[in-house]
Parts: sequence; structure tokens; C-alpha cells
Amino acid sequence: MSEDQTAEKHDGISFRSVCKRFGSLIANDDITFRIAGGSFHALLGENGAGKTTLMRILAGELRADSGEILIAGERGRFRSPREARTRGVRLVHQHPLLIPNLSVVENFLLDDVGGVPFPKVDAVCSTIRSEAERFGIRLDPRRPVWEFAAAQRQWLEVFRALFGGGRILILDEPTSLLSPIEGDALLDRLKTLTESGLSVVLITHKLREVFKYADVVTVLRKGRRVATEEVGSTSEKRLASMMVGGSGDLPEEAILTPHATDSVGRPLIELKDVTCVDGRGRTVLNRVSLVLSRREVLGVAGVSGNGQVELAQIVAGVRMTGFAGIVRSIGDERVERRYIPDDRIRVGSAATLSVCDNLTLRDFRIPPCSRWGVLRRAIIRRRASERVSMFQIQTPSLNAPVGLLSGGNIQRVVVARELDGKPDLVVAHNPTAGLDLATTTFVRRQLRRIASANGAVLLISDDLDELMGSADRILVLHGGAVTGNLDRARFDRILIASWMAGGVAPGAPNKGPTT
Amino acid sequence: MIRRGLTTIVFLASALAIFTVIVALVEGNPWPILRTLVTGGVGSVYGLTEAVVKAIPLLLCALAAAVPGRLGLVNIGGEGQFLIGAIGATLAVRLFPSMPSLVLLVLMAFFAAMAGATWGLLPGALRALTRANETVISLLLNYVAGLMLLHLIHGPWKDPAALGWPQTTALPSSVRLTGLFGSRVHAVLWVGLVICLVLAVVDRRMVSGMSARIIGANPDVARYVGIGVALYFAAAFGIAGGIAGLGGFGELSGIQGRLREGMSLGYGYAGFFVAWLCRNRFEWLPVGAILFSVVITGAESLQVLAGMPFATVYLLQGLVFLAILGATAPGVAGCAGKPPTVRHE
Repeated sequence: MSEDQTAEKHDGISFRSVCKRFGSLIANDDITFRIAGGSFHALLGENGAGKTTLMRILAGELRADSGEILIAGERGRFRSPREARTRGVRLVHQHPLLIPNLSVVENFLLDDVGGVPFPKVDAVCSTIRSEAERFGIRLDPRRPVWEFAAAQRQWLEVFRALFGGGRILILDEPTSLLSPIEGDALLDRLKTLTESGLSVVLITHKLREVFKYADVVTVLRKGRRVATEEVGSTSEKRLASMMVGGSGDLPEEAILTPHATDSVGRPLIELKDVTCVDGRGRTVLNRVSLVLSRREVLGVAGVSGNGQVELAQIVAGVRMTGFAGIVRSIGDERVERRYIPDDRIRVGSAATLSVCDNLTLRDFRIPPCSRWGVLRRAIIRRRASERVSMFQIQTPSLNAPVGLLSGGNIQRVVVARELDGKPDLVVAHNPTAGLDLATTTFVRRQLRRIASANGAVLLISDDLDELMGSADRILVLHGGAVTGNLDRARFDRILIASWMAGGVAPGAPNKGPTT
Repeated sequence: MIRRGLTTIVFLASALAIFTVIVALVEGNPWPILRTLVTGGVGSVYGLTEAVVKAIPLLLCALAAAVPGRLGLVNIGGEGQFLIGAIGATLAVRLFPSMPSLVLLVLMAFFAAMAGATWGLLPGALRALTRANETVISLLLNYVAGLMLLHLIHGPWKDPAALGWPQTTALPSSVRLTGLFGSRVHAVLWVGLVICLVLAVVDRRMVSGMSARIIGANPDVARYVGIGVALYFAAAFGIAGGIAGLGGFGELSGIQGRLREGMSLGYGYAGFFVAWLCRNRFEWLPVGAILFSVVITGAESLQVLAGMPFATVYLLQGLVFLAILGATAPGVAGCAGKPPTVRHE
């Protein structure tokens, strides 16, 4: 940070014929292009296009099988993240790699492990504080990281990179865990920094972000570079078609899920005055009441960290204790519940198990996938391979461990498992976060299909567009309480946004719909 | 695969080389000692059958570590479960001395298995119900079991005719397992192999095996799809203890003939190593057990024939363990293309 950043204006990065394979999967296939120093460069592509792999190579986390990388004319094929760091290359992961139990300053000092045996923590603390103030942020470096919300952690990670002397900052889908407002705030700030010589590489599949922030965009598809273009001289349609291949086979209306006209069915699940306190004694749900009916997609809007996880767990039946209030299913029949958790990698999938096993986690214990306690593997495999083709999961084989797949493909595995068939109740928490356009559309259609097939869907999302496009009704959560409730006919973006920010609804807040 | 096999051989050879150097430093000329090691381990019929004899308790203790190991749990309590099994079998003999011998043998095995299972269930149930650390509890229970054995052979069960030796009276010969083909290899070998086979089938073909594999891979996921994780934890430890208990029965009835101190040559711990080296794969455990017991018998013959201390056994065991550890480490033997891990936070 202390260095004169403008002197580094010419930190151009050249990729020359970079190749990387994982077993039979070709992640990067002969990639050649250039990133100009001091620019905001977007790396655009669908899930599994090889964006993250390429950037992990740049950051020294992976080694290329062949090819060259030059940074400001010098060799840039790093052998370790540490080596990359000394050259100012920093990768900010999609999921922040801060250690929650350590304080901010301890996390920052981890960068220098091995450098100084007894760091002067107080001095570093005050430097962190003053540097943060330069960004207009008041920060107590002694606070443990777990006390920070997701958006703050993302920012902390960026800040750590800059603090550690980062001049080339790579961000892997930084906004996927953030609300739109939070995401824009982060990218705005980075945009400003590029003016003082910082190079930013943004991995994304959101066209909006490309057009709003990037100077240049490189499109990857299936491990190959398709094009590198000035953002000013390209169009959304053009980029979208390059991303998915072919000539823009995504009609506009596919983005919005067609809304079912049939009326809402009978009530299925009721929550009454549910209050939930988390492990730290914070009230995360505060007297939440709602009724979820069949043939309905009930949207839940809110800034992340306002009780969504707990609400999802309670409705999905995963959390049985630790809350007060009434949760009951209306009617007598068994309710088949499915749940797409927000944290798919840790809660939704088992990295070391095969794609086949992960796809059939819910099936293997019930007929026809097993009988008398004996697995019927042919049926299980057939079911898994149907899901692979239906949800277009890119995997070297059914036997590959799920951990080998790209983040987006792991997500498809979870979504495929949870949405296949005809469940009575689906709780979907950010089901399309991190998915590309085609899969997003597909998932939304599946949710609608389940609702049309007499199922109930609770769609919890940070993406207001998704809710307004897919839900029949939207509840707004703020600070663990329901602050608003709107039917589809009365959807109003500004009203919802104000409720999300804590404004109180005119009319009847904190009440479920009358049933 | 070939490359990995070659690496393992190279690593094992270097372990042997280190051993030779140490022997040479202590004894001068290492060659007679190495020859003794080889002939004692695999070079004679006696050595081979003795290796099989020792592989029996090793196999059962390895199973006791591998069953919880499949769930990601650590059972280091095979030793205690083994001893408690021997105590249980002795108890059966004391309770029903007049039973027909075949019935009594079955009762002994049953008592041994139940005693071992109870001993295993203690850490297993505590883990399942209270999330207490099963590794530490099972380890500490080994000492409890060992002291219990000492108490019995010094106190209430002491053989009055043993001239003060701390041991129980000898089992009646009718309940001694006879050796196969005149050797000391007894029938519990088949029991162990059958258990291995059954568990391997359960692991691959049964719903319970699949559930266990999911729990082992990620217990959070298992809970999320509704698998009764706590039940599996407790059951795995119960089964593990039962198997180790059977091992205790075999050693008592097949080899020792009475309860005495030093009944186990650390089979529980060695079995844990075997399970670890075989990565808890049931089908590999017999191979692992026999390899390990060859090392033990070889080193034992050093003690007898070359007058080397018993610690030689541990030295050689440790070196072999390290060698295999090194050879199977990710990043060795051209397996650097390890899939990227996707664990976050």
C-alpha cells in the first residue's frame, strides 16, 4: 500500500497458450490474451468455463500444464500463492478465506507467516485502522471475523489484499454472496481504485456488472477463450451469445419465468410467532408468522443475514430445536420436503463422494433404489445419469468426486437432486446464485413446475429481480421480523426495497396472509 | 497404479535400509540379524504360521478401528475392548463350568462379544449423545480395561495353585480352540475373515453402508438428508467393540489358555495402524494384518535368536508405518494432480 501505485501503471498481464487439465477434464485449453495494467477487466463465462482455474493459475494456487504468463514483461508463472503475493497478485475467493475464529489483525498477519516471528500487533492494528479510514470505514481490527456479515467479510478480504500490497486484484464472483446494493458498493469502490493504478480482474457471469464496471471483457467458454472486447464497443446480446455458444438461443422471455395463472391451493405449512435465537444469543427470527400453500411460490426478500438461513431450516424441517413458536403442517398426509441450502458446498454436498452418490442422497434409502436394505445400483445409476443430462451437469463421469467439479456444477448437482420429482414442499435458498443464465432459467422453471404440480415453494433470495419474476407473493424480512407482505399484483420494487432496509409497511406488518 | 506400487516398494526398502543402519550401529555386522529377521518372519513354516496366528487378533482389532473409521470416527480403544472380551469369555467359563463344551464355546464367544460391545458403546454413545471426544474416551478406557484385568488376576480370579503368578486357572482343554494342521492357527481366523467379507459387502451393497459412507464424507450432509447420524455413531462403536471382544476370546481360548498379564502385544494399537494403512477398507484389512504380523514375528525372532531388545519390534513397526505413510501421501508418486479441494472457510 505504501508504494507509489501510479508507478505500476503498466502491470500488463499476458497469457500465452495456457493449458490446464484435471484428469480428463480440460479446464483451460490454449488460452491467450492480454490484460492491460490499471484496467478493470471482466472474465465472463458460464459455470465450468474455466474462469476460476485460469485465475487460480495466475495467483499461484494451481500450476499450468503448459503455457506462459508474463506480468509487466517478466515471468509470471508462480509456484505458490506466496510468490504471487510478492508480485502483488492477489485472488479474492468467492467464499472469503478468512478464518472466522481469528481477529481481523490476526487474519491479516497470516499473510506474513514466516516473515516476522513476533509481529508488532499493536502497530499493525493502528495501520489497519488508518488504512481503513482512507476508505471511509471504521474498523476495529481486534474483532473476530465471525462477527462480520458476509458482505463485510468480502470487503475485508479485498482490503486485506490491498493492505498486503496487492496491485493486481482478482475477484471471483465477489457479488454472489452479496445483496445487489452491497455488491454495487464493493465494485464502485474497486472502480475508483483502478484510477490510481490498481488492475482488477472480475470473474463474473453477470452481464450487468460487465457493462457497469469493466473496461475490457474476455469471454471464456468450455475452457477456451472466445473473444476479448472493449466493453464500449460490444453489446449484451453479443456477449450473451458468445457465453452460451451458438447465436443467442435464449429468448428474452426465458429470463422471466412464466407466471402460472391458476389459483393458490390449500395451506400446507403454518408458522406462528416463531422466534429463534442463534448460538451467540442474537435473535435471528422475531415472531415470524406465515402460511405456505400448495400451488404457490412464496418469495422471501431481505438483505442476507436477516434470519433467512434459520427460516429456511425451520420450514425445511432440518432445524428441530432452538426456536419458540408453532410450526405445523396443515393436513394429515406426509409432506415430502426438499431443501436447497444457501451453503451448498458445506451442507448440500459431500466433496469426496461421487457425483452419482451426491445426486441420489435422498433416494438410496427408499424403493425402488433399495429393497430390504440392499442397494439396487443399476437403478441408482440410471437415476443419477438422468439427472446429469437433465440438469446438464458437466462431469468427467458419474464416479468423479463432486469436489472435482466447478462451483456452478456442484450447485447443479444439489439443485438436480432437490428439484427432481414431485416434492410437496421445496425450500430454495438462493437457488440460482452463481449459476449461469441458462441454468438459472431452468431452475426457475423447475420451481414453477413444482408449484404447478400442487407443491409449495418457499423461495428465499437476495436477488429481488428473481423474486419479482418468480414469486406469487413476497414477504420481506428485516432484522428477523416480517416487515412487509405483498401479492404479485401489487409488487413494487421501491416499496420492497424500503422494507428490506427496515421501513415499516403501511397496513398490516408482521402478519401472515389471511387464510 | 504401477507407479504407486513402485514407490511403495522404494519406501519400504528405504525403511529396511534405515533399520539396517541402526542395527549396524548397535551390533556391528547387520547381515546375520537381517537373515534372522527374514527367516523368522517368512522364511520358515513356523515363522509363517506364527505370523498368521498373530494376524488373527490384529485383524479383529483392525476391524474394530475400521468400522468407526468409515464414519470418520477414531476408535483407539481396540486394546481395551480386546481385553474386556477375554475377561467376558473367562466369565462365561466361570459361570457355566458344567455346560457341554460346544455350548460353552458359543457362550464364551457371545460373552466376549457383548463385553467388548459394551466397552465400545461407552465412547460411542457418549459421542452420539453429548459429542464427547470418542478418541480420548476410548483411549482412556484401555487403561481401565487393563487395570480391571490386573485386578482380576491378582485378586478374585487368581489361580491359587499358580505359586503367586498373577493369572487365572487354565481353561479346561475342552474349551480350548484347537489349531489347524497342528499349528496354533485357530478358528477365529475364519470368523475374522467372514466378518471382513460381510462388512465389505455391507459397505458396497447395503443402504447402511452407503449411509455410513455419507456420514464419513460429511456428517452435516448426512443430517441434512435425514440419516440418523447419532445412531450410526453408537452402533459403529458397539459393533467395533464386539469384534475386538471376539479377538480377545480367540486369543484366550486359542493361544493363552488363561487370563494373564501381557495377553495382548498391543494388538489394539497395531490393529489401529493396520486399519489406518488400509484406509479403513475392509477388503484390504486381512492383507494389512498379515503384513504387519510378519513384521512383528520377524522382530520377535530377533529378540529370541539375536538377543535384541523387544523395542526392536516397535522400531521396525514404526519405520514400516512411516514408509507406507510416505508412499501414500498425496503429492507422492505422481499423484500431484490431486483434485482441487472445494472446502471453504
